Amino acid sequence: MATIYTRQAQGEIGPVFSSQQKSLSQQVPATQELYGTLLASLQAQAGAGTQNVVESAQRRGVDRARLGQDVGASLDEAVNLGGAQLGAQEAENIANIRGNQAQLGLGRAEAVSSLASTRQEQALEIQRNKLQKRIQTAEFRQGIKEAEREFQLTKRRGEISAAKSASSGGASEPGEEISDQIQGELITLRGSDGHVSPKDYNRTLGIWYRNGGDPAAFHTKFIWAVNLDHAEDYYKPEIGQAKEAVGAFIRAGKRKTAGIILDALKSAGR
Amino acid sequence: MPTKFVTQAKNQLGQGFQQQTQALQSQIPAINQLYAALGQQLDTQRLTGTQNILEGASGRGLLRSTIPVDAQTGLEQSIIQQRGELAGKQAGEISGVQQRIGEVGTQRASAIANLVNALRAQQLGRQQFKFEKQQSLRELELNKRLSNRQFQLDRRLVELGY
Repeated sequence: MATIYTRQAQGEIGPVFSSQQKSLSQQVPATQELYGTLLASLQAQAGAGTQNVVESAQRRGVDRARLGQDVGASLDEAVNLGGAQLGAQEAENIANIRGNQAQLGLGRAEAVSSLASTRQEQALEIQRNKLQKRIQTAEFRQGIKEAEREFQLTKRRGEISAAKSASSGGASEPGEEISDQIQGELITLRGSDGHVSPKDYNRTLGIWYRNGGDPAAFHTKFIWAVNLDHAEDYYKPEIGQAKEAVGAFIRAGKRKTAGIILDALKSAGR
Repeated sequence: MPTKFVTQAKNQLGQGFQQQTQALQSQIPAINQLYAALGQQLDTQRLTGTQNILEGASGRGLLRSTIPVDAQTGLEQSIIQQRGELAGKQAGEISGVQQRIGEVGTQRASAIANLVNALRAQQLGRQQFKFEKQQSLRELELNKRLSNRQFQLDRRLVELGY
């Protein structure tokens, strides 16, 4: 059974070849009719020829008893030969027509095959693109899901870590490697006054937190990075950061630092 | 038993080559008939020629025993030679037609083979895509399941404090 692509190709190409085949097919009966007419004409001429020869001979006074038969036999032989020649020619012509039909049929089959292959490739390409898009979409969604899960895990780690710190009284840090990286980055970001900007301080605090570190531990460890004269810029009261920092310093026994921060916040009207 | 591709290829090719072969084969009896008629004409020429020689000799008063035999023999030999040439031509024409029939057969077989190859290639292409699609979707599903399991493990580890 032909594939959908072959049927499609046949539908597209078929009409062109069909009309040509029809035209060729019509040549066969036309050829046969032509040669039939030629043969009949030849036979008629033979009959008339015999009569003419006999009449002409009689007018000249030639009166052989067998003249009619001899002329008739001779003309019959000529008709026979002429008919055989016509027959051979007709067979050759029809063979040529059939040959053209065969070549046309071959051309059609090859064209259909080629077009079907092309149509199939196009269809498969479309399906491949759709599949690729489907996979990309699924991978993208999976990626988002995994990122959300990672966030949940990090948040849960932080909650558990904070709970442990609260119960044990101590502040927890992320892994040693992260801690060292953050320290190195803060050192690099120090200005001429030895402190980092509030923006860099809070950005690195975010990294610390996302890696499971306790914010209180960050504040106590990197107090040197803070310009305490502008404590209100580093510890945002509106998100509870000031309270968090003050609490951390108190717990760490650094009451003086806690007091400086509180004074700075009061002076800033916060 | 031919494969489905061979059957399909033959269907696509149609009856053209068979009809051409039949038409070529029809030429052979027509050729034979033509050369039979030509041979008959030669026979008639031989009979007429012999009669003319005899009538000519008799009209000149020559006795039968002195009828020029050479003329008759010459005529016979000429006819034989012409017959030989006719036979050669006839054999040549028929041989040409048979050769053409052979060429048509070869062309048909070649066409069928090419079409079969094309059909096989198309089928392989479809099968390959089907396989690729199955593989891709299986891989996607597997990765999804692995990710789910990994998340479940990680969650347990987190709860355990790791």
